[in-house]
Amino acid sequence: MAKSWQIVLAGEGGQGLILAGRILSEAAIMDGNNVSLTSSYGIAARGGYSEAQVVISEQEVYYPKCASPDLVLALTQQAYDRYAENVSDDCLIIYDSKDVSNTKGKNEAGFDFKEALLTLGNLKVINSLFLGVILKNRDIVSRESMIESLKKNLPPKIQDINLKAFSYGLDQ
Amino acid sequence: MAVKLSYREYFKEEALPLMWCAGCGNGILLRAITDALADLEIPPHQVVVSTGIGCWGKADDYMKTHGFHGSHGRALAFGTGIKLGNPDLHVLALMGDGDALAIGGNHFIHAARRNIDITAIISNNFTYGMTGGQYSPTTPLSYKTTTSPVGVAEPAFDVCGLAEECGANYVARSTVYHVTQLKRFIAAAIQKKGFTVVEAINTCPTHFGRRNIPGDSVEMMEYVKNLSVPKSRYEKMDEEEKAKHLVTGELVNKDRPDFLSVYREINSVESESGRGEGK
Amino acid sequence: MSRPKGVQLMEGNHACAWGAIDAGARFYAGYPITPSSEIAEVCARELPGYGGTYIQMEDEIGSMAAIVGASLSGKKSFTATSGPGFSLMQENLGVGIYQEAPCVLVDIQRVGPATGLATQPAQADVMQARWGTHGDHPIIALSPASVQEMYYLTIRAFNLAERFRSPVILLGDQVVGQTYENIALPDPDSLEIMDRKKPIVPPEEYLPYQYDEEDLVPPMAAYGDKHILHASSTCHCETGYSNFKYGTNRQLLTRLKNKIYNYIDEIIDVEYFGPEDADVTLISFGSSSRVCKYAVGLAEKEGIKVNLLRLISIWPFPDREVQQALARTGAAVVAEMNQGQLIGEVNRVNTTNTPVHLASGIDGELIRPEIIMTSIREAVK
Repeated sequence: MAKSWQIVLAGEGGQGLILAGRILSEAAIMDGNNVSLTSSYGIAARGGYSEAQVVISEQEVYYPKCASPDLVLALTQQAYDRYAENVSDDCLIIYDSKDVSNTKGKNEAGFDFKEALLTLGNLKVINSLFLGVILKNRDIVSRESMIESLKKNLPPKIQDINLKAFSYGLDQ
Repeated sequence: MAVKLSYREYFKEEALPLMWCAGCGNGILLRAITDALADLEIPPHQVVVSTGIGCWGKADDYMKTHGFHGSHGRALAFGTGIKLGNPDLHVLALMGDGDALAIGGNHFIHAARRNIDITAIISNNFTYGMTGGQYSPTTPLSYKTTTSPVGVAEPAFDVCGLAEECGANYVARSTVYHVTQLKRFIAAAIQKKGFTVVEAINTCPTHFGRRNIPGDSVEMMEYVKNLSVPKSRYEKMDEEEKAKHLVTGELVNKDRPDFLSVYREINSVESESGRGEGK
Repeated sequence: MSRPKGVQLMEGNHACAWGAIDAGARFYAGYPITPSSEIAEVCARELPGYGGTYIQMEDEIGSMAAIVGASLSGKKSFTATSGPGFSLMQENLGVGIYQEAPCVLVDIQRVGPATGLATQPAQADVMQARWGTHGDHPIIALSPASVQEMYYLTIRAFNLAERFRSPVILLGDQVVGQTYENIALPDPDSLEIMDRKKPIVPPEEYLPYQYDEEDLVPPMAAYGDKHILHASSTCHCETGYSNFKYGTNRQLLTRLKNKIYNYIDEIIDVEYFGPEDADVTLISFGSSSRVCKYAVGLAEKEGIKVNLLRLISIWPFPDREVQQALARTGAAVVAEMNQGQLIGEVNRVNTTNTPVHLASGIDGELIRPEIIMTSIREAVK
């Protein structure tokens, strides 16, 4: 069976989930994979539930959605509740330990994103931070490709702080 | 001196006789258009007439220029694509009052706002003639039609006022009685870049006249003649008198840059380049 | 922005816009509507760089009209829309068909009727694509299933439009329109691009609707040429002028049909997926067909042999290919995101009385594999 990943990034609008999905997807393409990235969000231009689903495979991706996620990032309780009951036991859930309180406590890891952001001194780099945390837990893409993708997708002015946030997540 | 072009260069004589009723002014309007084109010496292949649906929508059948006969109310929308597809063309949108202002009203106001380089020539006979004489957006309040048997309950649109408010570069009103003036306005409109409108008040003895104007074609023409007054006289009228008349003349004449000029300037469009050779 | 090169992540709608540009499209008229607006956005940004024009019309009625107009002025033109906008374009789509104006209409299907679910996928415009405009007429419609195919089928849509002098519908949906996937954009010069046939007779001999016997397609002058082009939405003869004589309508409608149906093999495009012989054959198109491919694997695990006939071109309907597939299988499942539109066509050509089941995805999301699996299990019961 060829290697494949199904990753869900869920939270709310403004957390850079879709951009993070793009960065992860482009890194996976650099690694030579096929990728399918879908997103869903409400009709409001800002805020509300938001998620990106990334399917990465060495083979052609038939079903572009995450039928059985391997990893779910849940930044809000709503996002956590949406997946916690439905994913398989093999699926790792990384949740925001400040925003998500009701957890099932199995194959999951809480992370205090807000505290990390305060340490980093920038609240806008949450997506680079959680990409680091994700990569720390699962080798979905190579670190080199991820760094290259981060650089490609972010304006030069904010690259340094985002790379710092990514490394910070990776070191946890 | 070069031989002057004749309207026959544009008019398709073999399509005669005209399909319009005796006493209808559409033939006069068609002659005014073809005369204007001849006076301006515009080669027929550089002209496209875009017509709508209705009596006046049949005008393209009598034209030897390029022709487009589309759907009801959309002559300006098709014309917009025709013009932007080949900006060297002179595009004339020939529309009736229902065509231009009811079903096509949205295209009319936006063509004027955008200032697309098209000349709209509206034959306003105050009614839907081809469908049997129903009331249109220019039927005067209380006039009778087949769908307003005791009088229409809606006030009429002022075609020229609407065009002016929406930003047209040139707006003029004449009638099929004032043939020379009509031709002059059409020629001026064609020469002017941007959205230009000529409203030709037309006669419809068959439907509008029969229910509202005592007499026949001659009285119908008299009605149109008396309905229209030049600007100088109109301005001296009191409100009550004004309401009973339509002002004629060149009502707007300005030089706001047309859509494509603005678009190309803003987007720094170079001349048309070949496939895949964009910047 | 310059044209993207090489392998990269791209949204389906962007791939569609680049396919159009690479096919030679230089005019876009449209009205913003979810989930198709990204096509307009790319065109607005890129067309000026190619000497082309983007115009945002006042509505979809005007948008369809404008692309027909620009087509007759000699430009490759297109528009993109969804749901309610597709409904509004229907009247002038008919004008384009009747006047034989090559152009492309992209419909990124969403849930309807009415406003429905504006951001969610459906495949419920199958019949509207076929019969949406009034009157008897043929139509060509293609259905992409991936981002890569959004690019290539858009090019193919333009090529077919030019070859057949007809509007062509690209029937996508929210999934293929807004999914991002890896795509490899080819060198535009390596593409095979078709252009409409121009008249070869001198201007004074030109009759705009006099067709060539070999393909039933009339050579096409453009507005501005010395060959005078008269295009009419009224019944017309070879001069292009309106003509009400007995026989003209029959002649015109017959030719419009035959110019496409007599050359149907140039249009029909299907994909066979999975084992040659199977207990159940899935018949599907567009994004649903991807889920079918996924279901083939799921069924295999359950010991059911399943294959797929994917319709890449859906109109004209590939009668022969579907008929043959039905004759060769034990049962068929038609998977589509509506309550059963394509299945009617499948049943029409089902001369072998093969049991045909429907897997219907109408939940405002990409049809779930489980829905297809349920129908497969039903079919082998």
